[in-house]
Amino acid sequence: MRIERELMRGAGPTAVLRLLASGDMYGYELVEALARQTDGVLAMGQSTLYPLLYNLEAKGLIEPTWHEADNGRERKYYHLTGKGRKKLKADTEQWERLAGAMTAIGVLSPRGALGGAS
Amino acid sequence: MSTLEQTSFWRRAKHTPARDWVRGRITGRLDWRAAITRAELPDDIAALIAKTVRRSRLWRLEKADLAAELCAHFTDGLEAGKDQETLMKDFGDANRAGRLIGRAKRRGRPAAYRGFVHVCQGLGMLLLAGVITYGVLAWRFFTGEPDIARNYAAEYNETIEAIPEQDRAWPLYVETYAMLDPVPDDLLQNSWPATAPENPLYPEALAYLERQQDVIALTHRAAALPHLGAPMTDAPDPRMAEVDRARNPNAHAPVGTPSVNPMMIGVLLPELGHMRSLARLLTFDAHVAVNQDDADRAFRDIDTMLGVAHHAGDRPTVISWLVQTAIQHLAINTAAQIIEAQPDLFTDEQLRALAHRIAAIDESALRGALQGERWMFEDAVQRVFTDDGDGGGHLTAEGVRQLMSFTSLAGNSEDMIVGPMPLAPITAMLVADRADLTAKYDEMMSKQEARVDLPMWEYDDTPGVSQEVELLAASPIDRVRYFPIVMLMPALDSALQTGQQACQRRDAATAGIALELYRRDQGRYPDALSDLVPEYLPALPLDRFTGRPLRYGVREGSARLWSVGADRNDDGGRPPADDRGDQQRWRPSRQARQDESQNADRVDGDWVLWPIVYQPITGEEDH
Repeated sequence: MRIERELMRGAGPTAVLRLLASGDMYGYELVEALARQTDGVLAMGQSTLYPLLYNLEAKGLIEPTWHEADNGRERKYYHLTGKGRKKLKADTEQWERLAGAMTAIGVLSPRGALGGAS
Repeated sequence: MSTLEQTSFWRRAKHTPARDWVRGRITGRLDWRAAITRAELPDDIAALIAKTVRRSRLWRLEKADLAAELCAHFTDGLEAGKDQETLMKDFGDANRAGRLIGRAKRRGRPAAYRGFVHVCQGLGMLLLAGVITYGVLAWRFFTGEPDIARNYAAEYNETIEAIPEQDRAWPLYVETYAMLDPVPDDLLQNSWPATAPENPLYPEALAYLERQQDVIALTHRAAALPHLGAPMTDAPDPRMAEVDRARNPNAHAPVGTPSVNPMMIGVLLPELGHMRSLARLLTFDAHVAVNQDDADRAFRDIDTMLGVAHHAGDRPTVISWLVQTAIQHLAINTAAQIIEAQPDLFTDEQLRALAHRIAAIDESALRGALQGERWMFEDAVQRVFTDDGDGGGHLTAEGVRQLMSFTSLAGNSEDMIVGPMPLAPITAMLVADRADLTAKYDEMMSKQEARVDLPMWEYDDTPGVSQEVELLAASPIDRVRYFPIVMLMPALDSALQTGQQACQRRDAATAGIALELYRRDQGRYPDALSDLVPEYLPALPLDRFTGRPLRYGVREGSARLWSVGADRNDDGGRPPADDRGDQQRWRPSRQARQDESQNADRVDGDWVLWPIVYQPITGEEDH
């Protein structure tokens, strides 16, 4: 199931920041991780991912570095900055409050499934 | 051999950033196309990456970085076992990706650069807005067409055509123009027409006068006719132009056909200069007649001068009225000087006739001239502005061209008001709408017309119209906003002043002649001016500065009349020590007192009106 663009616009950056919080990653790795870890819910095309990464970079939330990988090729890895970490924390709190509010009014069930669909 | 190594030195040099050059390294790292080639990706993927990078419209170094990252991305995908089509499908549209990537990357550029871009964008928008605005204004200015609805000259000429031909003096004046010899240069530059019998040039002046007797005779005939009857036209009179060409074949004598609807400010007034010449000739003839004790001839000359003056003011323009007033002044002065020099020359009948002729000078003639000035302005406005049918309209290029062609011919520098033609649409935006401009002009003219009927003692201290025009001209905004008024409004304050002075001289001259008649009857001058009323004068002549009767006294056997002058103080008929005519010019009384305290020699004294002492030029100062 694909997420609507407006929702993705809010969720995508937080998801990327969260993935980078666990370690530096390169573009393709991020694409794969998003698709795999969210069962494809947050999968995004690269024409969306790379602009998203460059926007986070422009805001100073992540920073890129070129490294030589094990196979000898150069890859661009993204690293979460201190500012990015603070932003992730703030966004996470907001998402939690949002989820709580949605649960409280029955949009979300306590298990996380849509209330209307249960 | 690697692709990098295969790349030519010159290509690498061309794609090496300056900082690498400084370090002595020819890296070629700006060559993003070579970077894609080096990745050895399938052609379709390479093309997709190239298209994305190209569409990003980034700087070359940014493009190289993007190309390298995308190459790594697709290489990772292929190595992970994905097929080419899936990878390209997951990537999405290259155009959209390139556009979004470019936008995102530019956000990461240095703040100073982004600020510079914003400033440039702002300036660009301003420039664009300016260009669009200019385009609209230029279209409005250059495509606007005046609607010339009225033919003022034709309307005036209809009144001329209604005058019976035998009552028109203009053909006779044209004939005198053809007959009149130019005044010899030595006379013109030395004493003419005040050449005294003691002057060495007197014989030459007499000889010249003798040759002009036919001119004088014809002028007597012309001046006796009731109307000038000259039409309004912008072409020289054919007969006068022919005479000019015959007299000076090398001079540029314009020959043109009259316009069907001539611009009023371009109408020629050839009679004015010629009439001044005739008046000077008559002045000299009158003084020669006095020397020969020929009262009839002197009387007729003065009478003819007044007739010529009447014709000079026949056309309704301020300049015509000024020439009329100047010739009347000359006639009055000539009469007064003759009466002072030879009190018994004229007969009683001649003196009474002179007094009546002088008293008949109409002080409201200026009002007619102002009406002509209104026509001139309205005519200019209809040629310069569009007409929206409701009194409004805007300035047009064609109108400005027409107006400037006349003002530049007249040496008027005001043509720079609207600036060079390419800038004119912008300045035209500042120029008042036709309705506003006409209302402003009407307000100023009405104010001046109201003053025409007021004697000077009823003037208030508010600025005159000329001062208002000066204020408009001094203001950078109003100078442009009301530029037709600044250009075309005549010097009305000065004209009003001239009119008041002329009235004062007229009243004093009639009173002076009455005093002379009284002396002849009673053998002495009266004790008081009131003794003249009503037998010799219908009413006491009033001082234009105070509204009270002119001052009168007998000094060394001669009757003297004077106005207390601008300072409003009676100094017993004593003129200022340095008499430059300042006492004749109206000023608010407070200012006049201030001037007197600062410059007593020029201001403290009276304006002596009678007698006007004849001071012919003897030429002694030249020897």
